[in-house]
Amino acid sequence: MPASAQPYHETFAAALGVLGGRARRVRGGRAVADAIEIIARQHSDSASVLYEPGGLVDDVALHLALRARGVKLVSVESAGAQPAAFEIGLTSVELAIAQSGTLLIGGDVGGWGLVAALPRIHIALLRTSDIEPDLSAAFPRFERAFSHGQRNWVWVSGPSKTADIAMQLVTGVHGPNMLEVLIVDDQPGGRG
Amino acid sequence: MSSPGRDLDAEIRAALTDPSIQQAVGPAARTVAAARRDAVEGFAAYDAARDRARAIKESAIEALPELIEMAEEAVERAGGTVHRAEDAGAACEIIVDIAQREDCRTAVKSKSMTSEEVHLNAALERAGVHVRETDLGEYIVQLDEDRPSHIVAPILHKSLEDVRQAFRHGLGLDDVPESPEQLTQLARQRLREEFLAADLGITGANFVIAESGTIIVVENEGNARLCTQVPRVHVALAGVEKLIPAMADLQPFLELLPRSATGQLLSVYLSVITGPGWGRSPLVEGDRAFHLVLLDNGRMAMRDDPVLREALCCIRCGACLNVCAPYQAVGGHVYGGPTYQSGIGAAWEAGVRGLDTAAEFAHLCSTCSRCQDVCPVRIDIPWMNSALRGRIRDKKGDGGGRFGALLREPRRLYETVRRTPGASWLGELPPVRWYLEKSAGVDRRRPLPELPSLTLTEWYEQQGGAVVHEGNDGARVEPSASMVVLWADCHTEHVETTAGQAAVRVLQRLGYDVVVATGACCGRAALSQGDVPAAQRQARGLLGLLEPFAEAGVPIVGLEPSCVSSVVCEHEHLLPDEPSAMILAIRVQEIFDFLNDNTSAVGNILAGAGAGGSDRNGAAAEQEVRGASAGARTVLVHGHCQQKTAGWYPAVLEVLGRVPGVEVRSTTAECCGMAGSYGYKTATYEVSRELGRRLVGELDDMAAAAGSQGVEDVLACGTSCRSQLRELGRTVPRHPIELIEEVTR
Repeated sequence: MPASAQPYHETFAAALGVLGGRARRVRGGRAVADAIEIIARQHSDSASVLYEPGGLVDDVALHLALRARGVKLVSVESAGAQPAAFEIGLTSVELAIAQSGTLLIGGDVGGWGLVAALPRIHIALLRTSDIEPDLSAAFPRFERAFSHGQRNWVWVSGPSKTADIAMQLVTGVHGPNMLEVLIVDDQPGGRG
Repeated sequence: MSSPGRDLDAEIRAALTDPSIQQAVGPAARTVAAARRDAVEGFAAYDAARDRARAIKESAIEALPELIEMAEEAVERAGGTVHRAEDAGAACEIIVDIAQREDCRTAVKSKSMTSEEVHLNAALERAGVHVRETDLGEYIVQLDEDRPSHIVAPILHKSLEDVRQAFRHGLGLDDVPESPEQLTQLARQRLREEFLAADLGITGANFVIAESGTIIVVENEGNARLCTQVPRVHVALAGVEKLIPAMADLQPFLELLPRSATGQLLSVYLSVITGPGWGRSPLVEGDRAFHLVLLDNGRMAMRDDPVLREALCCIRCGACLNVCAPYQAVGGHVYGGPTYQSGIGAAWEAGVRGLDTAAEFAHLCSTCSRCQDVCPVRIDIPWMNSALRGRIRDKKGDGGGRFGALLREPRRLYETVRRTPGASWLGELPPVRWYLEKSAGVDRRRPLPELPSLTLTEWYEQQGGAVVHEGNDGARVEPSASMVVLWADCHTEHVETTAGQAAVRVLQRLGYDVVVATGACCGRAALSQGDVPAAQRQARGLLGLLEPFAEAGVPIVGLEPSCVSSVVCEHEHLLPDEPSAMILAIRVQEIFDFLNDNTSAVGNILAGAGAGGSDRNGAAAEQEVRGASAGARTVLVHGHCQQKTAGWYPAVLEVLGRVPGVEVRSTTAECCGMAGSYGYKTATYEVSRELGRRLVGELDDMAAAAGSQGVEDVLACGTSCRSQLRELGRTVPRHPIELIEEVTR
C-alpha cells in the first residue's frame, strides 16, 4: 500500500506527474472524446490518431464521437498504415501501478508496440479499477495474464527520458515526450 | 580492445589530471549513488527483495544447463530460434550469419555490455553490416570512437563540451547545439531515420525467462523498444547467467534493478518480449523473425569456480561502481578492463577474458567494501577481489620479498621496527625508502607510521592491568561476569595506543574489569594483498587468542573497524570449517557498537559530561550549552568504510550525539583512500592521495559551514583514516573514543 490514504487514481496521477506525464480522470465516453479531440487538434495538423485496437479503445461510441468531431482514427492493423507518420498514438492499458505511475500495456495485434513507441504523444486509456496500489499488488495480476497467453507487454512509467549528457535530465528521446493518461471512471463510489 | 602491457601508472596519472574525468565522473557517480540510497531507504521490503533475488539467482545458476534447454524449447514454441555461442567469436559468427541469411545491411542496436564483450560491432562491420548504436550515450561513444566507461551510464566520463565535440566530429557539423536538450533532439532526429531504415535490431536482455522463452529489456529512452519492434529481424544477445526460471521470479529484480541503477522505482520502459510477437508489422513485409543468442564465453567455467561463481548473480545495475572511491577518482577506463569496470569488473574480466586481463587493474580496489553494501544481490565483491589477488600472486609471484611478507602482517612489521635500534629514523633515510619502494612497492613519498615508546599492553601492565598475549593464553585470566576484553589489534597495540588507553578508561568507567588481549593479526592486511593462506594462518592464531573468552561469553571489543570487520565478515570465508570462528564473530564488537548496547551505563557516565571537558562542573556546563547554542561544539566525524558496510557507523553517531553540548556532523565520502597498505603502495599512492584530498576538501567545507571557530575536533574511526588525515588535513584527528574519554573524566 502506498503510504497515503489517497484513492489509487490520485496516487497514480501524482506519481505520473512527478515523472513528467499527466493523468486526468474523465467521466463518460463524451469526456474521453473531448479530451482526445483537444490533444489531436493541438498536436496534429490533420487531427489524426494512430490506435491499437483492444480494450477501451474499441468502444464504438468513442469512435463515433471522435468521427463526429473530425478526428481521424487509424488502426495500426489497417492496410497501408504508416505508423511512423503519426504524431499521436492511442492505446488501452491493462493494468497500472499507482505508486510508480506505471502503465502495463499488453498487445496481441501485429505492430502493437509501435503505437506507444513511435509517435511523440501517447494517449492511454485506463480504467480506475485497473489501478493497483503497488508492484507487489500488480505483479500477480500481470503474471496471471501472462501465463494465460498474453506474452508481449510494455510497461511505461512516464515519457521517454535520458540523463546521458552531463547528467542533465531530458524528456523525449526515442519514445514519446508526452504521455497523457485518461482515467475512465468505471467505479463511482468504489474503491478507486 | 584488450591491451597487453597496459601502463596503469601512466593511465592513473593522466586520469587524475584530466579535467573532464575529474569534473564529470565523481559528481555524477555520487549523484546516482545518492538517488539509489534515497530509493532503497524508501523501500520497506528492500532486504527481503534482496534475499529473494539472491536465492533465485543462486538456484538459477545451479540449474543453468536445464534452464538453457527449457529456454530453447520455449523460444522455438514461440516462433523464434535459439543459438548457443560457446565464446565471443562464435557469438559474432552466429549473428553475422543471421544478418547474411536474412539479407540485413543495416542494424540498429541498443545498449548491451555483452555485445561490447564479444566486440560484435566490429564483426558486423567487417561483414558489411552497418551497425548504429541508438542508446544516446552509446551513440555518442560511437560518434567519438570511444568506449563506455560505466555499465549503465556509458559516457559518465564526458563533459558537455566533450559531447559537443563528439557531435561535431562524428557528424561533421560546424554548428553544434549548446544544450543537452537540443543535442538529444538532434540525436532523436538522426536516429529515427536509421531506425526506420534498419533491417536488423540488436538488443541485450536484462533477464531471460526460461519457462516461456521471454526476454525482459529495461531502459529509459525507448530505443530498445524501437530496436525490438521496428526492423524485421530481432536478435537478442544474452549471457547464459541472465536466465531465471519463471515469470513469477521476475518481481524482486524489478524492485531492485531500477532502484539500484538510477534510483527509479521502475525504469521508463520494460519490454516483455516472447518470440517475434505476432509476426506481422505494418512496417515489415512478411513475418518478423526473432533469434536469441545465449552466450557462454567463460560463464559456465565461472559457474564451476568457487570464487567467480558469485559474479554470475550480478544484475548489472552499476551501484557498486557509483560508490567506488577509486572509480570516482579515475573513472572506468582506467579502473576497468576492456568491458567491465571496478571490483565486479575484475571478476567478470577474469571470467570472460582471463586472469591476466583482471590483473592489469584489480589492485586498484582498496577493499573498502562499500560496493558490497549497495549490491542488490549481496555479492561479496571485496572477498572475490581478495581471492583474485591471491591467484594473481600465485601466478606472478608476490614480489616484495621479506619486507613484503612483513607488510602482510602488521604486527610482525611493528615488532621488527621496535627491535631494530634507530629504526624510526633509519626508516626515513632516502636509501632505505628507495630500497622499500623497489623491493616492496612502498611509495617513498608516504611517511611511515611513528611508534610510541610503549605498546598498549606495556602501558596497561604498568598500570597493573590484566593482559593476555598470544601463546601465554587466557588460562591465567578467569572469565567473569564483569569482564570485557579489549582486543588490541596490531595498530592499536603498536601505533594508536592513545586511542587504546582511552578505550580502557571508558570501559573501566562503565564498571568493567578490562583485560587487554593482543597477539595474532586478524588477517586483514594479508587478505587485502591477496595472500589468502597467510590470512588463514593469522585468523587461526587470533582465534586461539580470543576463543577462551568467546566461549565463556565475555564481550570482546575492538577499536579498529577493518580488523573487527575482518573477524566478523571475513573469517567465515577464511576458516569455513572452524565452528568457533562463528562464535568469535558473534562475540566481537566494534567499541561504539558495544557502547550503544550499554545505553544506560553510557548515559550515566555521559550525564556529567560537558563539552568543555573535565575542568567544568558537568551540570553547569550542560546548562550553559543549552542556554547558548552558539557555544555548541561541532565535531566532524568520518566513518570508516568497512565500518559503514558492516552497519556499525550509526552507533558511533548515536553515542557521540548523546554527548551534551556537542553537535555531530558526518562526512559523506565513502573512503579516505588510505585503506591499509593501499596508501603505501606505489601503484595506488596517487589514487590514495587524491581520495584523501577529496575527504579533506569535504571536511574543510563542513568546517566552513559550521563556522570554523565552532569546530574543535575531527574524529575518524580508522587508523588508516587518521593517518591519511594527519598527513593531508589541517587538524590532528582522534578516534571518537578519545572524545568520550575526555568528556567523562
